[in-house]
Amino acid sequence: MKHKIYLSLLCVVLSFHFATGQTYNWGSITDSSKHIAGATLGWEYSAIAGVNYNYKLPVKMPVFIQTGLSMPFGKNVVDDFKSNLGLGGQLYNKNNFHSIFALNTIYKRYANELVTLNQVGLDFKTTNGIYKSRWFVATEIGLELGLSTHFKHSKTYKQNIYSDVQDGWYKPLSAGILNFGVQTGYSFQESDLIFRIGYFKTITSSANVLIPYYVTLGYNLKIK
Amino acid sequence: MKKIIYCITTIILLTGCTKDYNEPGNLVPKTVDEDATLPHINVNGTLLHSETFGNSDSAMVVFLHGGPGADYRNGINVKGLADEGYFVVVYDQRGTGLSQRHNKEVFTIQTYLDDLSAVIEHYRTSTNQKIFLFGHSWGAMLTAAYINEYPNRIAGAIFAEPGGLNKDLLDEYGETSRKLEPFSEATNDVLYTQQFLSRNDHITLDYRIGLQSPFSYAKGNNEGIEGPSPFWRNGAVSLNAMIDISENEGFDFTTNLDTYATKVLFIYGENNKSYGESFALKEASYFPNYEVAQINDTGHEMIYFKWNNVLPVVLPYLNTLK
Repeated sequence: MKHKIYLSLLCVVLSFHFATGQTYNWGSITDSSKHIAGATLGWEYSAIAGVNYNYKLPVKMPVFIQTGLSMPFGKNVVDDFKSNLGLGGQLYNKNNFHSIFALNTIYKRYANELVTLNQVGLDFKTTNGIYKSRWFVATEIGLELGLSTHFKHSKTYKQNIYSDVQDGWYKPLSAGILNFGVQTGYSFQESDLIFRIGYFKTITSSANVLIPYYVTLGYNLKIK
Repeated sequence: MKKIIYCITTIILLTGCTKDYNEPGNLVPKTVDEDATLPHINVNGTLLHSETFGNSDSAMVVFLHGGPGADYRNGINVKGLADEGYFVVVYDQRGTGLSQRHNKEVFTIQTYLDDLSAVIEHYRTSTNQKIFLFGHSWGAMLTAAYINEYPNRIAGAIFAEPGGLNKDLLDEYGETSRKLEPFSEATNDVLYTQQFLSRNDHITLDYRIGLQSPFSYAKGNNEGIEGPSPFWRNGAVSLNAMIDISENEGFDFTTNLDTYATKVLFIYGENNKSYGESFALKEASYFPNYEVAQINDTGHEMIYFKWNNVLPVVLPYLNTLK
């Protein structure tokens, strides 16, 4: 019981610190770029919109604390969302070629009239490419693991489908999805315009997600 | 940084104190092979969840539920025909509802027809006992497939909105009945859940497809479905197998229907904008002798929501052939 309460509290805390796989032009980041605020619109599993905030740590190599939130479109705005909190930093930089690694904790929620799912997980991502002050192009590979999911079923589920359904936390892995893609962007003044496109592949199932492609448009504003 | 590492470690540790997706009965009901107390029959190499109502010597009405992959729970009102002098047989088709699960390669159209033959033979008490089929949606498609293959075995049939007696008709019906609107709550409720439950085991697949069921009765749906209706378990593997067969091989259950001289009955819900009289007539006209009737004030799930409107239409039809 204590574990459940603690984990629920953790989920609530995390829900106030978000990211959706932040993408920056690492070539345009200067020592004075302390904060980056961003917004995203696109398709990831469904039509989504998101916001993010990133704080540059005062260390030699660029490293950001990443936070953000994305939500699918629909009538009920807050019933489904995905959030994360983590770190993203530059591992390698030579002749405008940058290697970036990010690790985020994920908390996401799904609700419809049958169930509410709360899932905690991890997201690993590496991007590698050419980053210049005005533009960048890079490949991205990521792995998102849904470590554990909490199920809370509605009265409708219990009445119409299964009265003895077991609510609670379920063991790993409830989901594991790879993504492969490319990202490119154009930078001007303190802004980045970013485009990402890629493909999802589940690792926990031979059946892939229904629409296994993602495409997003993003805008970043660098704040000193 | 230390706090983040602590949080991650805590999450990983806590995931050890949790329930198992694959434990029967946790997320979806146990099937007949997992709970022997459920009513079932052992036929054609599988265990089917099945019940009967009425005098077993009376004319038999076999109900074929929709889907593919659904079950007979929301069609159980057909047991009312037992009060009218019929022997009513209901069963969850192979791999669906509370019937035994099977892997995808087991499912073929012919397997479903063989299962139906085996169910009829299991319950039949005499060779001259009349057999009627009552199919709803996919079950009505299967009814057509059975008559197309074995026109001499069936004394009459009721078709409640078959989704398409061949691939072209299925596509035509599908285009109007199940439109995905990318910015709607109903669509996102179907698509967004996939990132939460991307496991491959039968139970997770069945559970996930069950969670998507509200899409069918979302507000403003074209099929005029009034709201949720009960079911036990959607058989995801059987559904996926039938979709693959439809997409890769196609199907046509109409090639021999013109040899079936007995009158058949097609019924459609007044509120199903995707079906209607015109589609009913298009499907019924593959038979040389047919009747088409509207069920007022309901849609595709007419048997569950408006059985009192269905019974007065199907009973006279059955009685004329009894």
